[in-house]
Amino acid sequence: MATVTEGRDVARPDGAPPKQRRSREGAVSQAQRASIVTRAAIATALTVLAVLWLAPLAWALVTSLKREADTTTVPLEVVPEAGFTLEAYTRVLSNDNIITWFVNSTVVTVVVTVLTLALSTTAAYGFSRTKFRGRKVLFALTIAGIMVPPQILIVPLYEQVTAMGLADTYAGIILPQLVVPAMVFILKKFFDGIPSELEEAARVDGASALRIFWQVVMPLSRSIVAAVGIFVFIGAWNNFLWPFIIISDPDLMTLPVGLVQVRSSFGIQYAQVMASALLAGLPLIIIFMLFQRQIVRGVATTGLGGQ
Amino acid sequence: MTMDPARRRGLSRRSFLRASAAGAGALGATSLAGCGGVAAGGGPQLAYWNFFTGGDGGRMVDLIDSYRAEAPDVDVTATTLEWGSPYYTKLAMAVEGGRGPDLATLHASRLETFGLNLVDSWDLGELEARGVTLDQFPQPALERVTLDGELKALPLDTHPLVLFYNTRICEEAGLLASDGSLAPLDSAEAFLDAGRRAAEVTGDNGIAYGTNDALASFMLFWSVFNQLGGQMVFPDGSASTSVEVDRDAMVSAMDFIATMCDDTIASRSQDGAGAPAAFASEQAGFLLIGPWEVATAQTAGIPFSMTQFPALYGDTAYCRADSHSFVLPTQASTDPETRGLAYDMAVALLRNSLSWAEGGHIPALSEVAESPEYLALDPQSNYRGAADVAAFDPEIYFAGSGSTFMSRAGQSLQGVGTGALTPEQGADDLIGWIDDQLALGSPL
Amino acid sequence: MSAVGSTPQSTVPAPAAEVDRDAPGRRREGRSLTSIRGGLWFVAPFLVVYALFTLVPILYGLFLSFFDTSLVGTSSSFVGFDNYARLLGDAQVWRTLGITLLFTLLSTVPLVAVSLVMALLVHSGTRGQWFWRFAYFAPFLLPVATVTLIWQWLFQGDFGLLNGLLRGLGLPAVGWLSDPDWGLWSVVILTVWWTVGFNFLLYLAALQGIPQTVYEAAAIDGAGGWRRLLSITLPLLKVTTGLVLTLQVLASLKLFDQAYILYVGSGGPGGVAQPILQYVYDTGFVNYRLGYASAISYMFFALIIVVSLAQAWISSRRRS
Repeated sequence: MATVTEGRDVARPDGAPPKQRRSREGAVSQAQRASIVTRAAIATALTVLAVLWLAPLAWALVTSLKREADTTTVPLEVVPEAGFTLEAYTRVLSNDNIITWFVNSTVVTVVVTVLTLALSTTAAYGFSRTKFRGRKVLFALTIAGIMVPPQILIVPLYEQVTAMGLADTYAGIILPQLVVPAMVFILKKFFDGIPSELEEAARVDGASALRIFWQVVMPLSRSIVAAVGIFVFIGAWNNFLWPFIIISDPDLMTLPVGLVQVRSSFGIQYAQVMASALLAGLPLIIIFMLFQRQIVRGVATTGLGGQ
Repeated sequence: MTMDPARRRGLSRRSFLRASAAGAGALGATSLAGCGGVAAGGGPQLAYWNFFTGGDGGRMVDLIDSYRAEAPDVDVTATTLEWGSPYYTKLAMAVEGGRGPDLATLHASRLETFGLNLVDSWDLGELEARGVTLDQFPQPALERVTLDGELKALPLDTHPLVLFYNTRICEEAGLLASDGSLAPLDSAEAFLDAGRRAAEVTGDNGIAYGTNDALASFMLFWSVFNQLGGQMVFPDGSASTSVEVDRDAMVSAMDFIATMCDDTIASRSQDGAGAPAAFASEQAGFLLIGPWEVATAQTAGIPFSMTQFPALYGDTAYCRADSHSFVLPTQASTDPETRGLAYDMAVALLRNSLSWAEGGHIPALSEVAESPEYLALDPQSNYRGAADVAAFDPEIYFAGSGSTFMSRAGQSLQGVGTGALTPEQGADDLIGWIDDQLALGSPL
Repeated sequence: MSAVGSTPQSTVPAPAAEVDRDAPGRRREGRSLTSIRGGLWFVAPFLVVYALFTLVPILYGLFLSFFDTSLVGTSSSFVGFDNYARLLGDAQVWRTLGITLLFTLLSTVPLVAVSLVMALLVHSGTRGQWFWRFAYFAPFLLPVATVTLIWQWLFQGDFGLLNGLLRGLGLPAVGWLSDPDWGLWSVVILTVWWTVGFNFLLYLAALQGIPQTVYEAAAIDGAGGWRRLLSITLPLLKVTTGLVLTLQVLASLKLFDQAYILYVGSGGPGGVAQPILQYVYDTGFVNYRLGYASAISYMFFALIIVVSLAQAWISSRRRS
């Protein structure tokens, strides 16, 4: 039943590395059989798409490396006569606001990720492995939550969080983001697939439920927890709507909200806007470069939560 | 439960900070970065919000610095938020939660929305103690910021619709008087004809006008509508009655716009940024917009001047205007010392508004508006008479600069300007929308 | 066939379908449900937060929708179904709903088609897998503020890259952000660029789940590349396509962030890019009508529920 989370393993039931290698080679040899023309066409299409998809980022990067005056030339210049400069980045990084928002985003994202994982894994384990009255009803209620888009709750949530005195606080940004029923569902499906014999053995040794959860189940679930964690992290770092609504104090804004709301007194300065926009996206690009395999698999397994 | 706003406002800024500290602490967060709080210097804090960017933004920074120089121990935090509904929404939400800044900029036309319980009245005694009295302000702006006999906002300037003209193009078109200024245009026909002749010179358009821009089109519409004697009277209190509006004047004003936008006198498809750009590149002899675009024309280095929007209909040259003014956002508990500093700062900015006037705005305070330095500003003081014939936006909670009303009126006017709607259809479209709004009842 | 088809399908679980299957799963329960006590303590923390920040707001929002509550007003009174009656006659509700549906249509088609093409191309095994995946997926990871600020710059009328390229080709410039005919398309273009990578990875995972033996068998039968694509690959991706499609429709219906930021809350030229969620925001927070905004939210919520249930129904039918 672990198939739900590890779709690729099902395709290769034995999961043995040699077999995998062989089927990979099969793919290559098949590609070789395709005509040169087809292969060239595929490579061309791949390249065209890659250029289209990377060009906006490249142009943003180029702009961020120009002097302000060089950004608004007609016709466009890729390489300005005066050459490139890191001026925009030094300006942006010497801006207290951006540093403050970066710290806010980091605190909020880390806390949201840790707490969401804590709440979701325990709940999933409870639903998967324990027996208590109302379990099925409560699980159905949780699952129903997947269908509730957070966007439609902004009005009542704003009133409620304000009444709780949490508007313009970290807690006000964080708490409503901790509820991700889809992740509970995904984790529960995974826990369902773990053979219970392992837990039985631990129980015979007299381990408590909490210890079994922490020392037996969690280590077995590292990959799925990492996948869920990465997705919650991305979602929290990029969240716009809720922090945008609940925060008015510029000192408490997160990066996406601050970048959009607070303006430079000196007008739009494209090099600096591009520099700050790229800096806001940089942490996630780095994470992707480090964890591409996990993220790619994570999308496949937690597709629902990413939406 | 959560329905009682009074209770919500009962949260002081300090207690909210405490709550935030406790909340964040409980969640294991150790840092409460940049939470206002006490500055390193330990001096008093003053938070000021505004929406000025570009040329105005730079000048506002200078103005604030002039106050900082006067009161070096006060730690002024100036925050610039995105203009328009984002600014007003954030300000309302912050004040409603008792977390507003100590001083804020507001368009006088937006007071109707804020006046009720989001801003405190200015104390005339406190102002007089700082040498500011009401007779130092132009009448139209003063009327607009006075609600129920209370001074709700302190005007910094008046910024009317003005007419920019390119002196080289106008000279070639034979539109200049002997002193080199624009010869008087005293009727709609004369104005349109001037546009036609300028178009002959440029080979493009005569008048640069943001047909697709809500602000530009509303400024022109409201000026002409007022010159035609048009009025918009809203029912008092009770909902579901409709607006009393002079439909004929509305149709005539829209007809003027439709006539002007014939793709010769003015373009049918120009957008808000395109109009000043066309004027700056000498593709048009005139520009119809607010005086803040003076910087654009100066930067372009073209030969130009500015004049008051002329009286095209009737004798009075009414022109749509608004006023950047200062308000005192309601605080959960007002700290008299901070409030005093807010008075100091507002008055200081008013007094130093000569540099502000360089950006095109007509200074509100008479000691600046009548100073030789201001009168010597050319072309910025050419149209100072507009402050006395300023026509402010309709007095209703959904109107004003950057409001729903303006953007919706912009849609009707854009339809008229592009020819998609006849002036009659445009007028009925707008009146119908206003009635729909009134039927909703006031949320205030 | 069905055994093969179930593989890519299992990569994306469909919630409702799973619940249905769960109920009769007695055998598994008997095995895995040990008599661990205190289970409620495991789920309690989640349920408390869930109740506070999802269930309570749902009920409170419903409650609000029967009042004329104002963001700044001092009193509110019960108005019964007035808010709901009013939205039926509010042209702006229907206009913004129409814009939302139009955006959903315009964005979903390329978001599904382009992602499928990308996945098929990458799955061909061309060298540089890491790079292709990076190029197509990286934008998805960027915060919406970053994405929108970059595109505001690309769309900029005078100095933007797009008009610069058009001029370079001798074509007239386009008012990407100022022309009512283009206003919504700009949001579509931005959205496709930003989020196509997610669907791409879902498709790629599905493709990698198709066992090689299927193709080998087809190759023995002498099927060429296009034949294999049309008669084996695409049919096997049907289930994945169904899921990508429904997930995408749900995501597109919730348009707000990028449209709001791109047009700084103005709704675009002539209001052509104001989605219904922005009308909810404008009604509630800009125009202070929280009660009415709640009613509009709930009408929209009902639509989302219908689409979600349709998705669950489709996937449960596919499974059985």
